[in-house]
Amino acid sequence: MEQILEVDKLNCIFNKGKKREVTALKSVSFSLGKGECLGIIGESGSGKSTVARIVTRLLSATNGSVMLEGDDLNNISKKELYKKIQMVFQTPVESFNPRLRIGVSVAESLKNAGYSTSETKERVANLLEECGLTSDYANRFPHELSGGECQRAAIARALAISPDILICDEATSSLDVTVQKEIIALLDNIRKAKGEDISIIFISHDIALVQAFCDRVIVMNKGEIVEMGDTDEVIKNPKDEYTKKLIASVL
Amino acid sequence: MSEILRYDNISIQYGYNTAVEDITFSIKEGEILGIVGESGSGKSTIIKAAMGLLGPGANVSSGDILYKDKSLLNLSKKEQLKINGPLLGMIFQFAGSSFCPVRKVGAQLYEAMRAHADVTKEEFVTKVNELLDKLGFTDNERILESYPSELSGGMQQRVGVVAAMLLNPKILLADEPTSAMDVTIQRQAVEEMLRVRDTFNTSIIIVTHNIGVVNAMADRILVLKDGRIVEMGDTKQIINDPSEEYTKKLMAAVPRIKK
Ligand SMILES: Nc1ncnc2c1ncn2[C@@H]1O[C@H](COP(=O)(O)OP(=O)(O)OP(=O)(O)O)[C@@H](O)[C@H]1O
Ligand SMILES: Nc1ncnc2c1ncn2[C@@H]1O[C@H](COP(=O)(O)OP(=O)(O)OP(=O)(O)O)[C@@H](O)[C@H]1O
Ligand SMILES: [Mg+2]
Ligand SMILES: [Mg+2]
Repeated sequence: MEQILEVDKLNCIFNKGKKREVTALKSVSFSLGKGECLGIIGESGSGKSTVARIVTRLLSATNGSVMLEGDDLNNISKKELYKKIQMVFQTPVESFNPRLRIGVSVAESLKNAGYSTSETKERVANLLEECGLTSDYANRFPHELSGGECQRAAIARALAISPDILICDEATSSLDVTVQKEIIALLDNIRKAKGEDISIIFISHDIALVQAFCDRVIVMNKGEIVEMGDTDEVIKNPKDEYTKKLIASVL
Repeated sequence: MSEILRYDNISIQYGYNTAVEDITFSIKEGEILGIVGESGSGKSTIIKAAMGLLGPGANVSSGDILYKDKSLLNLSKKEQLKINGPLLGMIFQFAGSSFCPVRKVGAQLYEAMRAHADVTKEEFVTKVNELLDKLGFTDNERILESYPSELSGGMQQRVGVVAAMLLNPKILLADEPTSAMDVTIQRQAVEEMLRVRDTFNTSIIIVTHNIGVVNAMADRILVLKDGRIVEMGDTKQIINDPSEEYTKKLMAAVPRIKK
């Protein structure tokens, strides 16, 4: 399989030299294949969101490299990058500008990509509906949405320009299981339609969901990858002690 | 067991939109009630109403919420301050945004506790460390020294649980308290909430999308859809033998690990 993203020996230290110094990532390496869906599970605080934020250049690693289709991420302008990579953030409410209506936020990437006003409006309405909201949510402000509605708006925003890489950081954690099922079906349909043209990193605490949706999975603990492999294989026959404990804890 | 909190025919609107309608239920001392249901069905609205946290756009158009015999609606700011915290503890759906972004976590927790209880710094430190340990933290000192944005999603949520529990409230209103936790820590958080109930006879209302969590915790479950109660009953009955179509659909959609 051709790789779209190659992450090599990422280290990330926060607040170096201060009392609250913390090593968030220790030599994290993995790659994402074209058309692949890669799950990341693991301990709270193990560095999953940090990986996502480095790959989207919201954060710089202390060292290590990320290559997107063979180019160093640092050599790609953010504007170009966000035409290729989009992310659904872990805390949906905070990820929206509180002063902008939902429709404006969802449309932002479309405007940058040169859509006309009427095309944009139609696309936004369709996206909101695909994510289980009605098109009139475009007129609301973020604080006027429930937690799960805001999360669905965030998914709509990330899908707007049909990115090559979609990063979902706990993207369904505020959804009830029936809505979650619909969102997963939507993502499945996009994968079927786009084939190799969409690759997904799916960070989640829901191990059953990861098993149902992801091809491969990475398990993280304390800033390190402790296990990586075919999802079913890892979940059915975990080798690492932490992975075993994690899987045994599911309620 | 006597009744401690009662919702009587509550209806709430945001502008012209009705968020919840005719909500009636009550909870006893030491009881745990789970609220599950569709995203947007009004779960957060229901629990915010008891705390007076609905915000200016909302209107409670009918009914009452009673703590023992006292109405919790239309309280003065001063009365609310006395009730919120020690009597009613809240764990917010998005813990991160309930903290002040420019002050350290430890200072905020200390201040919140001191506002309601006559505690020394030492007593605070002992209690907060005890709770942080129970919620799976191994680097308490760093956590207390950090700003909220320096903590991961699940860490913020755990600090939110600690903040509510510090004051040992009579009733704990928990809105998705474990949604950002890995399953190992989720289990610890569930055990801690159960321990608090068993030790202090705390009543808990837990809103969650996680059927495993309600199953492990709740005595009774209330199912909500489109702002109305669909069904309410014993946990076992609702999960294993639901009578309503929506509840059946909900239970059928729960993803399960294939081993
Ligand atoms: N901006 C920051 N400043 C300081 N420390 C940070 C910062 N961002 C993250 N950290 C720390 O880095 C570690 C990894 O955090 P990260 O958010 O990547 O965890 P996570 O695996 O996503 O956890 P969760 O499942 O709880 O969301 C944590 O110890 C966190 O406190
Ligand atoms: N401030 C507000 N202004 C207008 N409408 C609001 C406001 N807050 C919530 N709503 C609407 O009220 C309904 C109930 O919202 P609520 O937050 O109570 O849902 P919820 O059951 O907690 O959902 P979730 O599981 O997604 O968090 C939703 O349709 C939402 O869009
Ligand atoms: Mg995270
Ligand atoms: Mg809610």
